[in-house]
Amino acid sequence: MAEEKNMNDGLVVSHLRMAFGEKPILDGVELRVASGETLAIAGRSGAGKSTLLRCIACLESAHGGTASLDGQQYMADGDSILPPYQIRRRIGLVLQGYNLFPNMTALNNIVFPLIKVRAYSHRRAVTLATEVASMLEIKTVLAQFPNTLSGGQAQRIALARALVLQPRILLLDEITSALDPETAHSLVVAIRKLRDAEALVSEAASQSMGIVLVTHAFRFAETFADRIAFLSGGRLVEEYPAGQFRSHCQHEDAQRYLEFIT
Amino acid sequence: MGYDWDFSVFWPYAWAFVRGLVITIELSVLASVVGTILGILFGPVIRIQGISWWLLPFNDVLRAVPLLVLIFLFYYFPYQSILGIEPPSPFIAAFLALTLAQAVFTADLVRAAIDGVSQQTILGARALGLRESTIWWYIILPDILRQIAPAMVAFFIGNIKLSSLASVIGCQEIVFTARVAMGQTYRSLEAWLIVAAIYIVLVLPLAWAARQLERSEWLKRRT
Repeated sequence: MAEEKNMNDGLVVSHLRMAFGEKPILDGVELRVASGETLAIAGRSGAGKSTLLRCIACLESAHGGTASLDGQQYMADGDSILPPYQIRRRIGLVLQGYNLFPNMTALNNIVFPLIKVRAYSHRRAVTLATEVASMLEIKTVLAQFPNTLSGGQAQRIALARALVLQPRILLLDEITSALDPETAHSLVVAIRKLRDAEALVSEAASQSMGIVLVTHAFRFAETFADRIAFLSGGRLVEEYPAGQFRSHCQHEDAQRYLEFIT
Repeated sequence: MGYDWDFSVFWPYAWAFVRGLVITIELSVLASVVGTILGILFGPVIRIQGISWWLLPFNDVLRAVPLLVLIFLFYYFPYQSILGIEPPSPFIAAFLALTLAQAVFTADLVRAAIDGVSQQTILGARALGLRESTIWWYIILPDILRQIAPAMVAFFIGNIKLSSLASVIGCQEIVFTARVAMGQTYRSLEAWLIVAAIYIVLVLPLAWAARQLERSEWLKRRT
């Protein structure tokens, strides 16, 4: 039997289903992100955006659906078929609440996963962490512990520690919620720069990573993403290139959502 | 009326007091350290589903028994007829009782502390692709230690004082020494004041350390 080879690399999710009790949250999500591409997912609060990201990263078991990364299937029937930590090493996720290690300095929050997950030497990890931190403008707070960081600083530390691990796909859950528009913009610039930065392009990451971004900040999504999809009723009901979303979208929920975007 | 103070009669007992002090320190430090380690190991175990339904009440039962009764149980247990082994020395019996008490209290604190570890932090660690064992060792354990540390210092102080109970089974720690010296010199007030002073010297630095710990930044590094 000739197996059909998936020529498209990146993340492919299909028929993803998830429910809390009787209430379906995700009801057959279809999603595709090529490497180097950025997909923004918009939707109302409680639409299941965060759940979707957690299911993709195998932090939660879905109730059905498949997912594959670079042609290799890692989820069947909603459950991971590889050890979850191996999947999460290739699919990074920055959670909404930053979730830093409270017992480690900001620097060690970035360095520790590099050493444990990527087997970096301490010295190499510190060099890379410092480099990325200066791009994200958080170099001055590296010696501080998380309980002394502002929301915006903690957010960027959380982003930095996920970025340096060079995942194939990076999932970002509301990363701009603690940031003012200007900082959010500089974050976008930094992420783009990092994606192409030489320091990060190792033999493991011959292609740049894909990004899935969940956000309420629609304008942020428009400037940052290549495509925007709208999550409603447990499905991605509309999907257009970022610049065309406003003019093309027809779904009732999405239109109502857009009415409130200033 | 007037009390004729005389501490000088205790000079010949100076070395006996030092030996008693050493035994008091040995007993309380050993029991504190071994009991804490056992408790930290045992704490996660009593949460395991399937055995917690009987292990948890069992732990509660052990915590309900007064230390003096535990000491008597370990000392007067019929070792020969039931286990066929030699009975332990008073020191060993007291050590076992103090260690058991420390272990069961620590285990219960650790059990509660595990539930107190931020699920968000653990989720964040998993999201980075860290293994569960790495998360336990570097994230969960440090948080548990922060949660139980203040109570632990209080327990250590308590152990120094509670080790005096070992004197009733003939363990020659400091209270036992004082009782012997008192019996031979008939100077009860002075004897007990000396003992009280020694305990104060032992305990006050720990009490001071406990206060430093309460205020420390280290303790605040958790979510």
